Amino acid sequence: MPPRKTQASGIRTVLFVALRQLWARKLLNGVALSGVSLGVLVLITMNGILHGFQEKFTESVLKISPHVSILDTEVRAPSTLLSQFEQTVVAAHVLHESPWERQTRIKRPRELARAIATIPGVEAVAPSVAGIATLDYGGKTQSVDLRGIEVSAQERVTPLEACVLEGKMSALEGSTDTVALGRSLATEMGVHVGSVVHALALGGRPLDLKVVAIYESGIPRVDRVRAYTLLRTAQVLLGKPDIIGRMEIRLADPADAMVVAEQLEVALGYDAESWQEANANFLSIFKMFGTIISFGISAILLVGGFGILAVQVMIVLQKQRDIAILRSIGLRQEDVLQIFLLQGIVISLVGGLIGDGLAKIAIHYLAQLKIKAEGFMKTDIFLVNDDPKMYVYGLAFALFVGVTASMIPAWRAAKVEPVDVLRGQIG
Amino acid sequence: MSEKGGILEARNICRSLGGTDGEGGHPVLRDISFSVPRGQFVALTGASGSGKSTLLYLLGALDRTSSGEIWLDGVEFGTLDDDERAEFRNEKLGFVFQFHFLLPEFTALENVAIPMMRRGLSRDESEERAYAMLSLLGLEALYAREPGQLSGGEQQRVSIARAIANEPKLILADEPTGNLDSENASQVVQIFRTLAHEHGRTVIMVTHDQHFADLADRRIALKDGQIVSDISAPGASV
Repeated sequence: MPPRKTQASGIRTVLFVALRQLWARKLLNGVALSGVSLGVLVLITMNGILHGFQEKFTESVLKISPHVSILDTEVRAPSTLLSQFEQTVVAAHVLHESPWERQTRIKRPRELARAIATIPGVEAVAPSVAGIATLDYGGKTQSVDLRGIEVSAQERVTPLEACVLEGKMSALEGSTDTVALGRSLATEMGVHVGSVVHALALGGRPLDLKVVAIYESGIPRVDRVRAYTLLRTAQVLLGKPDIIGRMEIRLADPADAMVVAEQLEVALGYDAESWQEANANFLSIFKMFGTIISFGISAILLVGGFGILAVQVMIVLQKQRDIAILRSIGLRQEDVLQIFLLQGIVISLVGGLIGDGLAKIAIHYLAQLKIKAEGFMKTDIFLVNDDPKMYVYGLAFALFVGVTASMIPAWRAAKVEPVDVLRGQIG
Repeated sequence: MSEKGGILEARNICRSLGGTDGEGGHPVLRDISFSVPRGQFVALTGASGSGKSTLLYLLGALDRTSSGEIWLDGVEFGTLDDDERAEFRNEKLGFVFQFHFLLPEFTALENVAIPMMRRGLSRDESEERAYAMLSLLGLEALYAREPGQLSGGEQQRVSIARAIANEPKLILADEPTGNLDSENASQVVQIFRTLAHEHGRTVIMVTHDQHFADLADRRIALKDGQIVSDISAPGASV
């Protein structure tokens, strides 16, 4: 018989031997495979849950919050009262400066808004004023975060109209004595569209405001305390005539908010806050959960990897004689290495695919679960993110774990010297 | 190549065990030299610990000599690296062991076909030839059985079929009859004789059994790692 050895003949033999031996040890390999499947299942579902809630929170926050807010707090060293009059550097200052004399406004807001609107990536700018007011209705008094807005400009920054349950945000423009309330706030006070609430704030003029809209943003802390009126109404109510205290900005890409906020802060000298900064405490919770989940998933995958390692090491120890036979009939060390590596790859690949399938089913059923959650985010369904990328990552992780775990036993199998085994067996 | 034209030639081979890199250690084989021509059936005899199995592993390119040379079909083993030795075993050598040593997950047919697949034949072609080999040994009806479903004698015949699968120059058998009843053992020895005399294969068989050793063309006896006698049967090919 003429020798016709090729690279393909080696691979063909390796495949044939590896797959047959794998199939012959179904129970043992099934245990290793289950570990991998479980790891991938947990990886995908836990990530899906975390990202599902995080995305819903982010979506809700971005619906009601501007991407960047410029506040009336100057970040540069405050100028002294005397320097404002002298228009130059002075070596003296006035002691006991009264709070009302401090500069708490954004200067030349219209020009600033026009300038900000020209910055690349900025989609819309809306000036507003904010302050604390109290609303009184039927003997019930609630403290509210009052926002004075220009409805059409604000709508371009934070599309509130889509959140309205009763009435219309645009109805705010119909009269100066109107207000829009969050649903929880309205429920707490017992008001409906058409109700007239009495509003007052320190230093301002009390007003009777007609409720024209009730909205629900999905963020309980907003829906419980925030009230919207026209800009000029809020200015009167809060005693801040002609004052613009906030400049809210919408960006083409919310992910750029931190960079833009930093640039605006440096350029304008006012405190500029990104939506991430404004919600840092909540986002940090997700980050912390993410870290905890990552540890959990890593531990499970590690256990899956150890499963493969333990099974493979056991098989290598049991199969010394078979390895010696294979080597004696002409398989090279490399062929033996490939047989065990291939078995690890197949276990992890099949385990990963089963894990993917189980995760798909788990996510499908989790997404149908009805829950009632109203903490920092309101939802009545279980939020799960079904991202196809996670299935690919799951498979990739499984392969990584499988190949890594197979390395040691495969290397050990390849190093088996047939003569040592045969000498031991036969004597 | 052998000076005497033999297919296999051992020249002054020594093997020590327990030392480092062949140095020191306990000498198992000392200054072994012999030559075996094509088609000869040789029995290697000796007491336990005489070094016959060690010599067989050296002749089978499974182990390395401490010193000396082994030539087979014009190739000296010492010049080959591990991969080349593996290919050499696949193409030129066939092994039969005492405990049959078949791969338990594979059928008789597949056990015989694997060396041929490794050599480069397709699976279909390998299995076709493997079936022919099994038929030659009267096992065609058992081709689909796994080793666990075969008797000891049948398993040993399957391992002989595997050993001759790639039409090797040299067949090495380590106590092939040691685990068989007398009828099966006789049958196995008869197969080796046929392979040597009718198919031109060189066969070296390690055995304890004097009766089966007497059936060989030549008997090489070892004692304490040295050849103490080398007797050819009358009329045997040399």
